[in-house]
Amino acid sequence: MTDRTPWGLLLLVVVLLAVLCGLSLVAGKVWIPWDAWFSHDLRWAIIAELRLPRTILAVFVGASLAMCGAAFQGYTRNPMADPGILGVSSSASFGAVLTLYMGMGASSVWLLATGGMLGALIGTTLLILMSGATSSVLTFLLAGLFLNTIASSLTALALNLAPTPWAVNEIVNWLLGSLADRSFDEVTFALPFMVIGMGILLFTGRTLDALTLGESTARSMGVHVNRARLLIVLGVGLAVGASVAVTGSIGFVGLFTPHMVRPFVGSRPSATLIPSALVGAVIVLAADIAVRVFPSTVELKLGVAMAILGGPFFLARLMNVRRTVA
Amino acid sequence: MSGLIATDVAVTLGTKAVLQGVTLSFAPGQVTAIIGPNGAGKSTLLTCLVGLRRPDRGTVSVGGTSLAAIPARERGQTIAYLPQTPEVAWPVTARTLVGLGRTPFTGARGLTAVDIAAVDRALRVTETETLAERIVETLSGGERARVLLARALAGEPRWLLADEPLHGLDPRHQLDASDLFRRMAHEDGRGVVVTLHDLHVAARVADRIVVLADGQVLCDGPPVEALASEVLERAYGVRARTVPGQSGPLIEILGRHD
Repeated sequence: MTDRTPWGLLLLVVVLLAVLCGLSLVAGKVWIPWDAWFSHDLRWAIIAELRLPRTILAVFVGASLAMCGAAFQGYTRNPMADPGILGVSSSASFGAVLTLYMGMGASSVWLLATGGMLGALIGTTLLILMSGATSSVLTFLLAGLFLNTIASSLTALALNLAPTPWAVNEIVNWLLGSLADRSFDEVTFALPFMVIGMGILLFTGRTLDALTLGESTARSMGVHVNRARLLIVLGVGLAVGASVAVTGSIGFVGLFTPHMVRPFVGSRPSATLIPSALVGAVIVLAADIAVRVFPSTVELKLGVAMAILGGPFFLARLMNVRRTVA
Repeated sequence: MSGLIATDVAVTLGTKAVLQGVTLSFAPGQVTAIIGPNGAGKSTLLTCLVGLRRPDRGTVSVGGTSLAAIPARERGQTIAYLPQTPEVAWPVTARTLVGLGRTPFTGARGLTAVDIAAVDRALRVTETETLAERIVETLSGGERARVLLARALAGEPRWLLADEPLHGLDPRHQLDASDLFRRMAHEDGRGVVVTLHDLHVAARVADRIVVLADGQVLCDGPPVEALASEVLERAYGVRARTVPGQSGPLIEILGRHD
């Protein structure tokens, strides 16, 4: 393991991402070869109005979730930390589910996404208020766990009290997480939040590195640990909130992407942020392409596919840990 | 006014008065050891001196300026702190870890040539150059302690405050680290303050010993004075006999003081 940035490998990931973006425009129920992209017929409409926004969202949602995972693992100094346990994603889920529950979400993309984003922002604010200005990692995690529990149970309550079977169906379908049938409306809505959120997280690199030595040493070196926590909550709130608001919940990317990049870029938290974002984008985009071309009558949900990928990953980790412990 | 000065420092944790009005002044170019029984308030005093904890009463100042008035980054450049059980969260190399000691000086761009030169110097004086590319987790206790010390030295601080830095080291490594502390103070003119449990180590390393008991300064003076049997009896509640030895006073614990 090295602490130097392997630029060559990163370039390879960027090239891979570019290739996948191209493939993402080609692949689907209808295959559209390169030469038909600008054909000014129905195929052009499929590219411009369905596949392009879907591709952009996959890239940014993957990048957001993975970078948030890397930042959050760096902050908590826990390689098993997932931004999901902060409760921001479940707050966003609940906000979106509420609009579906009231029967409005299904009619308007903007309402659904706004509900999700509002949920994320309220959750983020609550988290900051609850974890206080001087709290430690432990109280912060407890606050996140509390928020997560409340938001998840409220979502369950909405399902329980749903007025019609259609509402239940819509909610469940949305909760599974998918990029299908997204338009440029979702892109315009979510992209600014995701970009700003990731931008904020990039500023926390120096603090995350210093935290490697523990909170008191980091503070003794003049690092404002509390300010950094605020930035992390804000960055994760915006990026994860926006991702969940437009795609539903897509798990595991945030948890396992940082693990995939560490053997190549080293364990220094700041060094994992951008590589995680790139690899996260590749994973979600690849999974979304796989979901589209999977031969089944009902399209597989992206969130489900990611969860299925997550299982073997944990098994591999477990075997790895057992090998080193034994 | 170049010293590190604590004036009437008091700290209460929960209902326990951990420090009850401690007034001490530390001089640069000197190694000061703080000794005392468990729970005497040594670590709490150290966190106050570093500026990590604001005392409930009293002030700490360095070079005539109150610690509370110094920006965190500047404070980090002046005073280095080595906690009792230093944590290393990720499998990073020793060089990367020592590089983190430059945090008070670095911006968003990472380590500059000046920083790298300082890291190299810190690795050299702690004799950890050969360990530089090793992962810290894989080092032995003694090697790890030296690398963590190098981290604290990388900022080339005017003050080094270390909580039990010699704990768990074998005699040879204790000796090496003690010599390093003395060189830092006597040759480089830095102020070194360490808390210690081992009285013999304190006798060897310190120019001056502060005995802390029940949150108060019981004795403050050169090793022969601070390690006298009457002082140890009062501080630790043991009967002790102190005789002059080759490298400093030798202490024999005879039994409980009843």
